Amino acid sequence: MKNNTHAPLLTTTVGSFPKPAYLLKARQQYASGTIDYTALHELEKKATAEVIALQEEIGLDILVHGEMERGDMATYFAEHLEGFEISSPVRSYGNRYYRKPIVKGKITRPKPITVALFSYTQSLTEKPVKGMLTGPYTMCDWSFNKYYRNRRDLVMALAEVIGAEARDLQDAGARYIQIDEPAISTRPAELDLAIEAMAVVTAGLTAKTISHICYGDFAPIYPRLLDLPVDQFDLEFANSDFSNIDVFSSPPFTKEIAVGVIDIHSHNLETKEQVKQRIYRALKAFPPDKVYIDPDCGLKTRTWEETRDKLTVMMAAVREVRRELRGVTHEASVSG
Amino acid sequence: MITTICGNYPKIDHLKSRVNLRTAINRLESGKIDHEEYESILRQTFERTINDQLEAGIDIITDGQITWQDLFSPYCEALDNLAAGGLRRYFDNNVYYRRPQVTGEIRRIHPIVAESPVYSEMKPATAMTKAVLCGPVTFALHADDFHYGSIDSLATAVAEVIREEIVELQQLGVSYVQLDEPGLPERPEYVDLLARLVPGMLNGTDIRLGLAFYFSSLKTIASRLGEFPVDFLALDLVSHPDDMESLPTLDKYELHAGLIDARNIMLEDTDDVASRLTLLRQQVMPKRIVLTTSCGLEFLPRDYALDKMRHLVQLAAEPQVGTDEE
Ligand SMILES: [Zn+2]
Repeated sequence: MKNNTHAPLLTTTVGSFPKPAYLLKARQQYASGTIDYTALHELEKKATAEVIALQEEIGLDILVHGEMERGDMATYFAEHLEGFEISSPVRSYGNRYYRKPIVKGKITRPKPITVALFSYTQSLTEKPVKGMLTGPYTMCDWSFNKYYRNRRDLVMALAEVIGAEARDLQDAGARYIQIDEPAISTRPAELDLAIEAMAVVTAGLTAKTISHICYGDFAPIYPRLLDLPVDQFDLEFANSDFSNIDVFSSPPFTKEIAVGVIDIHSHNLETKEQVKQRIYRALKAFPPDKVYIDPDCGLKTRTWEETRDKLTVMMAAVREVRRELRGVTHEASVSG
Repeated sequence: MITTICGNYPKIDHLKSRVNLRTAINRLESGKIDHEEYESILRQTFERTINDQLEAGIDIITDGQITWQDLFSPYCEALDNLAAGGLRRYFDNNVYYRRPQVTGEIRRIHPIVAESPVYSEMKPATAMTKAVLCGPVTFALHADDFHYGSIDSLATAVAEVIREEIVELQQLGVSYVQLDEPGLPERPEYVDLLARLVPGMLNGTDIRLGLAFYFSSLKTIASRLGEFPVDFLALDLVSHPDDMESLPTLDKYELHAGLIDARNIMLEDTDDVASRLTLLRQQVMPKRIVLTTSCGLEFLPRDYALDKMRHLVQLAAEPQVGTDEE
């Protein structure tokens, strides 16, 4: 049997948290011009502080700022870069829509986008807060392109500005920088391009780098995916009931892995036993010392209560597994 | 040259003042409006979808698949022993579908698409109508099957359901039925199965039945495209432009040529479309060509979808793209 005692099982989340009702209202008011940006931003900071307090109360190890200032993960960056325009809504799935960015000119970054709110959030906690970026391949894939000659030119232009943002986050003290590439599994033929672009983004970074990828088929892009120049992958497993985990067994996984053990698209609250089973499955499939535990994807589609409940169950399961791995009996851990 | 669109159409408007189906669904779910008010907004959305197509000058209109969640959801809502499961990426798009869960013998307890008002009280006098359904093989390939035990028997069960639906669609006077099979090019080993299922689905009706292939490269099935006993093929000819070269002679079909990219806001160049149509006439020699979008227009915001549709109709009317009558 594998020696699992070196499985710290650090816990984290993917990025977004649900926005409180007062912030949703303020975002509407800001959009219709009845409040100014200062008023909106004060509420974004208030909500961010609540997100940090919730994560500390639950006991998570690596925190996120919750993306209270963001709507869609691609559109947010497009709104703050030069060269983009924003379309009217297109559907993502079910009754969910996003405003798709349209590239209409040369892409530049007039000033840092995420650094001020990162610094504010990190000032609220002793625990590390992740810097959160959307990767160049996903930004390209989720935009309409009316300016660059081809997708490659657009991806590489995006890599430059996102790389500059990553370095600014590191200079501001970020110890973890997450560059999400959920679109990377979309076209296996373009994986090389995504890898080349990520190399530009993470060049020279000493912070731990992470990439979140979700709802794709990993079989056609594994093991080439391991060449994506980041330290850690953050992948969803719970939603597909771990049916996609076997892909990663051969050749063996070489990076750190944050394993999604909570289905964020379901209202159903997992039981502690369910989550424990998922954690043990992950520990069998991946090197235990490289395993982190988190939900499948961002939590923004859940309510605040569902989020609290799901993360609380996740944390309880992790604590029990940690104790069990240290050799404490199940009974003792339950009563303790 | 006559025109159509592949199938789906944006549900919500780029103009904030118009009725908004997204908001209506949210308000219905949270109890802020009743079912009657929701139905009224749904009807207005159907009307807008029909009017957009008619005003643009589309000859064969669809219902825009306004009530669908994804390609598979109309079945999940209409069939017994079928439910929508977890989210999966929808081919190479930033769009997700819920994977159907088959838990027993599937039975048609409601019409799948035939209840759409576009085929009954809103049916226009000036245009033909086309109903769009997921084909049996693509459905079987994208479902979690806990009952039938093989792609073959699940697809056969879906084909039986489609047969029942086609009977009803024909009674309504629908001109075309299009079965979308975007999954087939990825699994060419099921070409035989699909070809075998077609006669049963048609079951003697004289509705014009066709198959639509989009997103994936057609190269894997190009040499076998002539084997389907259907009236028309709808082909995405923009996602993999060099697919054109691999197409064989398909002179028994009407070809719905998807030369208008429904996933891109750039408008197509007239000369480029004209030269591709010339190539299709020389090489594929279809009975006639209907100009269409590469796939559904729901990938675009409504303002751009409207532009695309108007552009499509303009292109079809250009003298240089030529004409061909049946
Ligand atoms: Zn995700």
